[in-house]
Amino acid sequence: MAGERCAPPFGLVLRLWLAVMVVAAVVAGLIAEVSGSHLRDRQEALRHDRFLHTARDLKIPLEGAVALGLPLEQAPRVQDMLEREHAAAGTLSIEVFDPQGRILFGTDRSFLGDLVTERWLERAGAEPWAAEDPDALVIGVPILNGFGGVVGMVAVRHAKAPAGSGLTLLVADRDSLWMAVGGAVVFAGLAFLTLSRLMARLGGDLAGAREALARPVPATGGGALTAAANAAAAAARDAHARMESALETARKADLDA
Amino acid sequence: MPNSPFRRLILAAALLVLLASGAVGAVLAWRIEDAVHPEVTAKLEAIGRTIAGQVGLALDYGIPFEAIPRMDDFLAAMTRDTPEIARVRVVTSEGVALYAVGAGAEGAVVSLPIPTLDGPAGTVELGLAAGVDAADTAGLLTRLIALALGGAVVAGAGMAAVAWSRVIRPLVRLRDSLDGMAGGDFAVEPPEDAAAEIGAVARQAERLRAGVARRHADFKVEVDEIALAQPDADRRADIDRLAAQGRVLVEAR
Repeated sequence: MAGERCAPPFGLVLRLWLAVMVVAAVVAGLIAEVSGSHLRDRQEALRHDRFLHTARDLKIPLEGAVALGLPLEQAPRVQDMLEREHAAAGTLSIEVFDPQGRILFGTDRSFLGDLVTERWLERAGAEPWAAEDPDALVIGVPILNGFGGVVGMVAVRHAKAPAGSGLTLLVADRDSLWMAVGGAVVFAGLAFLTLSRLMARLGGDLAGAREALARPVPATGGGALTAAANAAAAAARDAHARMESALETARKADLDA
Repeated sequence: MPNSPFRRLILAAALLVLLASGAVGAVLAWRIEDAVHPEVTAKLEAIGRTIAGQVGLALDYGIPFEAIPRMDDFLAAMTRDTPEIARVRVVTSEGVALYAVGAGAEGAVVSLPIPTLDGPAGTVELGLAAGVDAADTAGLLTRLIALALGGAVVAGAGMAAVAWSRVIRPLVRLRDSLDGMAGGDFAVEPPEDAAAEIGAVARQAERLRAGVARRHADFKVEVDEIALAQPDADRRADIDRLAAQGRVLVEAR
């Protein structure tokens, strides 16, 4: 009996445990999303700075050539320089285009002479400017002549930061996955044990109350609920006895009559 | 259910969620540092290439390595607004550092060759600032802590709501019913919708209550029949008095 009363009410514990697990999962998911978004922002800021350096690096010799009086399209060794930088910096592509958007030099030679997208030209007023292609980000800087006039643009296209959610950070490799699974299992067990422990007294009280209501003798131990159940069972027994007694007396009186 | 276990349940739920949030946040902060590190290195390499290219250009123009004009200004300009860089050194092939800026605590070092027409003429070394992500991580952690605390409050409130609807309210109704029966009032029904263990006790209490109610109905029919069978009013009044002794409250007043 004593052992039985120490057992927690597992049905109730399970309901409370589920509530805790749902809230914990939602909060953990939110934390993962915030972290994932923070990581993407940080990676994109770093990439922006990095490729801005690449663009400015290319701008210096181009402006040097223009300052010497050469038209931009006749600047020497630009194509080689772009290809070298493209290979070293890990860009998707690099283009140099004139103010009308015509590509003068580019790492993809098949685009030479083509026009860049309107989107780039719309944004090309700022120093530096940035645009977003469906599959890439673009950073550009203007090429200025000696009078400060814009004679062209250097545009560096680079890959976007990986678009994984924060949860993918948690399960990015086998070690992380095991850590996440193990952590979740340990947490689930800890939560269940904690709630079971906190509900153990109520479990004992409920077991006592059941016993009090099921058996013709009062249950011992338990708590307030067991005491109430003992009193209720005693009152029920008393009510039955009073009805029996009254009925018996009435029957006798009837017979006497 | 007493108040203190109820409060302990809410507190436990809040602490459990706080614990889960803390663990997830700590793992993520560590993973973020790992994921960001290659990007920081790549950025330093880009800056290093710019510096190395310019130094190489000066050397190709025949400017002596040790006399490149305004190098300190150039290096300072290149590293301005780049907190990831602790220090930049321009080193000759013989290992002599001719130019250097910065003196922050240094972590890993990114080293790039200085290209000249005659081949590499030395290296540019960029020291990665140690703990550069500390402020960034602190910002993230502040947001995560706010989220975790919010989560703990939600967990506490959620636990209070679940405990109220699933535990406390059914227990109070069960207790009211048992107390009523103990006081002779068998009209108060135990909660029908109580779940799990409380539901089991409630069903048992209802069986007890229904048993008394059924017996009372039978009792009432029988004493009424006996009373009706009496030949005179005095005897009927005697039977009614006996019936009153056995009467129980089984219907709501």
